[in-house]
Amino acid sequence: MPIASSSRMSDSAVAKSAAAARERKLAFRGGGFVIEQRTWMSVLAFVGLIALWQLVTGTGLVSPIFLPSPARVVRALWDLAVTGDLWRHVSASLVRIGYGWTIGTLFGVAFGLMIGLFTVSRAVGLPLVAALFPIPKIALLPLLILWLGIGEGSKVATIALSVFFPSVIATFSGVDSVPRNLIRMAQSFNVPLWRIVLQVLVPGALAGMLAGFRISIAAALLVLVAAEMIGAQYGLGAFLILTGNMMQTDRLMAGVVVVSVLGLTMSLIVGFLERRLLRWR
Amino acid sequence: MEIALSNITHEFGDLTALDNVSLHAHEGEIVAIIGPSGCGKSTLLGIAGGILKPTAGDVVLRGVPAPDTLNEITFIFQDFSLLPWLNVRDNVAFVLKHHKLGAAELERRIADALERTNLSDFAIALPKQLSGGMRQRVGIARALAVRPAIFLMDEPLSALDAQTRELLLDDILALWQRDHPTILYVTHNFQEAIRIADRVCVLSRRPGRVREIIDIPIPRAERANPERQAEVAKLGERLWSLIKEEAIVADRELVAHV
Repeated sequence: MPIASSSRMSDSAVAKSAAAARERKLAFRGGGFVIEQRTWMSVLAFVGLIALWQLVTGTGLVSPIFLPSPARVVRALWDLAVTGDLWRHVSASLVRIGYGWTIGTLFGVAFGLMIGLFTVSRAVGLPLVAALFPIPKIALLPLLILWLGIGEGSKVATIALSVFFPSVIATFSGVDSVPRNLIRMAQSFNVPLWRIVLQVLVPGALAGMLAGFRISIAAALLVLVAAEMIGAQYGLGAFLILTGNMMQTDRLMAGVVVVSVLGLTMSLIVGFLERRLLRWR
Repeated sequence: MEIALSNITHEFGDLTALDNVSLHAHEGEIVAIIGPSGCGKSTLLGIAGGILKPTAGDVVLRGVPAPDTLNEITFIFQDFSLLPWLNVRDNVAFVLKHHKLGAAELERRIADALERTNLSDFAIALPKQLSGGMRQRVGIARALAVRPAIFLMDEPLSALDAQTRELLLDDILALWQRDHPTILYVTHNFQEAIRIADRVCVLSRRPGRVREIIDIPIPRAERANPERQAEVAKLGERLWSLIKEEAIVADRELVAHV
C-alpha cells in the first residue's frame, strides 16, 4: 500500500482490513482414522462372492469337476445332513478337538502362568518354548502314533501340542502386561499368592489369553483336519480326503464349508466371552 | 506406631538412588518427604512399606497396633492401583477377604470404609466410571478398611486436578484428625507438604540424601488462616530455595539410561 496516498485510515485499521482479507474457513483435517461399523458392506462382500461363484460355475465357464456351483454344494450338504453322515464326521471331529484343545489349553495356561510368575520357570521354560513352538506339530504325528497307537490318543495329543504353545505364549505375555503396581498393591496388603494369581494376574491377563484362544482354535482346527487325513475312518479330514480321492468335488466343498463354519462358530464364542468378561475395560 | 528407616541405601545397577537415608516418624506424626523428581522419594516409600528391597539398611516398626488392625502399614498410591475389573465394594473387599473375618465383620468394615469416604452410593460402580478424585477415595477406603497404624502416601494427589486436590487434601486431614495415624507423605509439592506435615524431610537429588528436616511450627488447623500466611509463605520460600537448584538440574537430565 503506497504511503503517499495518505488515506485517513490509521495503521491499525490497515492491519485489520488486511487481516480480514485473509479470513478463511479452517478445513477439517481428519479425526484419526476412526473405523466405523458397516455391516451391510460385510454382508455385501459375502453375497457378492457367492454370486460371482454361481455366475462362473452356473454358466459352465468352469467345469463342475473343478469347481461345483454353490447350489450343488448346498445340495450335497443337505444330502449329507439327511443321511446322518454329516453328524457322524462332525461329532468325531468335535470330540477330538474338544479333548485336544482343552488339554492343550489347561497345560498351556498353567505353564504360561509359571513362566509369567517365576524367574526360574522363565529361565528354563522360555528357551524350550521358543525352540519347540515353530515345529509343525503334525510332523510329530507319526512319532505320536508309534507312542500312542493309531487311535484317538495320537490325534488328540497332536492337537493338544499344537494348542499348548500358543496358549503358553499368550498367557505369559498376558501376565507380563499386568501392571506391576497392581501386584505390589496386593502384596502390600499381604494378599496370599494364590489369590493374587486368581484375582489379579488371571483377570489382567485374560484379554491376552482370549486373543490366544482365537489363535489356538485355528491351530487346533488345522491340525485336526491334517491328522484325520492321515489316519481316521470318521472326521472332517477323513471325509475331505475320501471325497477328494473320489473326485466328488461338491461333497468336498461341502466339507470345506463345514470346517469354515466350525471355525467361525468357535471364534464367535470367543468373541462373546470377550464381550462378557472384559466389560470392565 | 512409629516407623524408623535407618541408613537406607538403594542402588539400581550402578546408579545410587538413595544414599544412607535415615528418617523416622513418631506415633501420630505426619512427615512429608519432598525433593526434585528422580530423588528417590517414591523408592524410599516403597522400601518403607516392604515392597522394595533396599540394597542396605533397615526399616523398623515400633509399637502395638490397635486390635482391629489387619495390616499395620498400608499404602495410598499415586495411580490409585485399583483393580479395574472389580467394582468399588469388591476393590475394598479384595484386601480383606484373606483375613477370614466372617461375613458380618467383612460387610461392616466395607460399609464403614465406604461411608467414611462418601462412596456408599457408588459401591457397584467400576473404576472406569469414576472421576480421578473418586478413584483415589476408593484407594483411601481400601486402606481404611484394614485399619492401619501407619499410612504411606505416595504422591496421593499428583494425578488429580487442582480443585480435586484441595478436596482430597481436606479428606486426608480429616482422616488423620479422627484416628491420628502415623503418615509418611511423599510429594513434590511443597505447599501440600506445608499444609499437612509436622515435619518436612527434604531429599537431595541423585543420590537421594536427607538434605534437611524442617519443622512446621504452625498448628495444622491455622495453616489456612489469612493471618498465618506470612509465616506459611516464608516456609514455602525456604523449602523452594532448598530444592530449586536441584529441580533445575533434574529438569535438564535424561530420565533413564538407554
